[in-house]
Amino acid sequence: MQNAAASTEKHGDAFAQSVAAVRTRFLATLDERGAELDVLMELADAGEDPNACFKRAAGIVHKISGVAQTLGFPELGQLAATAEQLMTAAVAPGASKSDFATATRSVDDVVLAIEAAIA
Amino acid sequence: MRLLAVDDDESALELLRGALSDSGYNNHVAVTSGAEALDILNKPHASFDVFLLDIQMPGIDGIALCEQIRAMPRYRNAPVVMITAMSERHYIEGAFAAGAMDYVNKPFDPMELGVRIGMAEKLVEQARLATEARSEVDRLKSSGTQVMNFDVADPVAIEDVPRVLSYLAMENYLLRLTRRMIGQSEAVAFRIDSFDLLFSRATPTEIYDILSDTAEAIVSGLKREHHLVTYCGNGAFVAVMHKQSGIHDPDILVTVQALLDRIQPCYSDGSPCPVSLRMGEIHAPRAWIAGNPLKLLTVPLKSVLSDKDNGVPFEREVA
Repeated sequence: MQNAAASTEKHGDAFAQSVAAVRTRFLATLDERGAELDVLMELADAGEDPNACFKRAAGIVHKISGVAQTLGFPELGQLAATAEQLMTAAVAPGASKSDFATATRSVDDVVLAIEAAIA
Repeated sequence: MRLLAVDDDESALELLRGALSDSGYNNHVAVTSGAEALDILNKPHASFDVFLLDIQMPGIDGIALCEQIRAMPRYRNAPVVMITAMSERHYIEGAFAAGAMDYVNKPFDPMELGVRIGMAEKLVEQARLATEARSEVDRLKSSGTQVMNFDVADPVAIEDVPRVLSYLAMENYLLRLTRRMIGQSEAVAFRIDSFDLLFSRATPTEIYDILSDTAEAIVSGLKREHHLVTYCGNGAFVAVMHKQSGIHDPDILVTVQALLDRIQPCYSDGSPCPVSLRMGEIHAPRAWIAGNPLKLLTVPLKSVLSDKDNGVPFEREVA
């Protein structure tokens, strides 16, 4: 994607318009992201390449944490940021089973927050 | 002013575009990968003044992209602002070591972003004036005239020495650290003895080369994995490091001085210019009283500057 700017929006309105547009799309994709997180955690629990599952899940919550607060979902943003940190720690060398379990629970918290946001 | 924004998340890019437009920066290009950014930058007529980079991206991440941008001669001094959700110290340190000028955490505040880009814009203008001044210096040099283009107290940005930041970038780095990270840090200052005298005898180019040699000796002599160094003016440097056990290492100065002696700074006519360094006390703030992070710069500096010249450049108030 490349967007040579030349925005014509009235000064002061552009960010609000961006937030409104992105918020609509964000909400439309949240359900799918929550479902994917659920599947990834189930696969990781079943021993299906847990590191790959966590890395993929970390990528999903990373994108949520980057914009959720700006779009009016501060708790979801915070939970996603925490989950990302815990998942990164859980796949680092020397991580324990307990790190893994803590990270999995943090993803469950994100999924619950997603359900609350789209309810 | 033309900006290039790089983020693999299109939603984040759209918010960024809105924030930039509200701050009056409408001339921007947004791409979703480091590879796309490099494709654009390698086009002969592409030209940008400021770069806004996400850190965590598939393929070329923001830190590697920052290094590649810095390696391009025309963007050697262009401000790079990292805009990222990554708040761990190694990301912050890696970004500044790669040449970032500033670091904004996501979710970003659009007004704060505008202020940060405004600072970057000032740097672009300063760089333009410096380029004009260099051209003037070159012209005067070719006519046999010597000019001074920086003052003894100016914190000149030392370029081309890895892990050496401009003073402004060092301030921005420290301001991104949490109280806990500050508590895990220590800092030490070095100063060139009789710098005023040296400054009065040497040309600006010679002084710059001496400062660059000294910075190189400090970076190499500290023998730490994680340290960043800045030049503060008045012949003084500050190195900020991760705290280690046995911090009072009397060999640091000996090692740095030995390296500097080996580099053998010299005047432009080839005659030797011996440089002697002194080192202040290592400043290691406790986490619970860490307070103003800029004290990691100012406290060590005061330990090497005399009463006469202990003014600290650009000292910034922090709430």
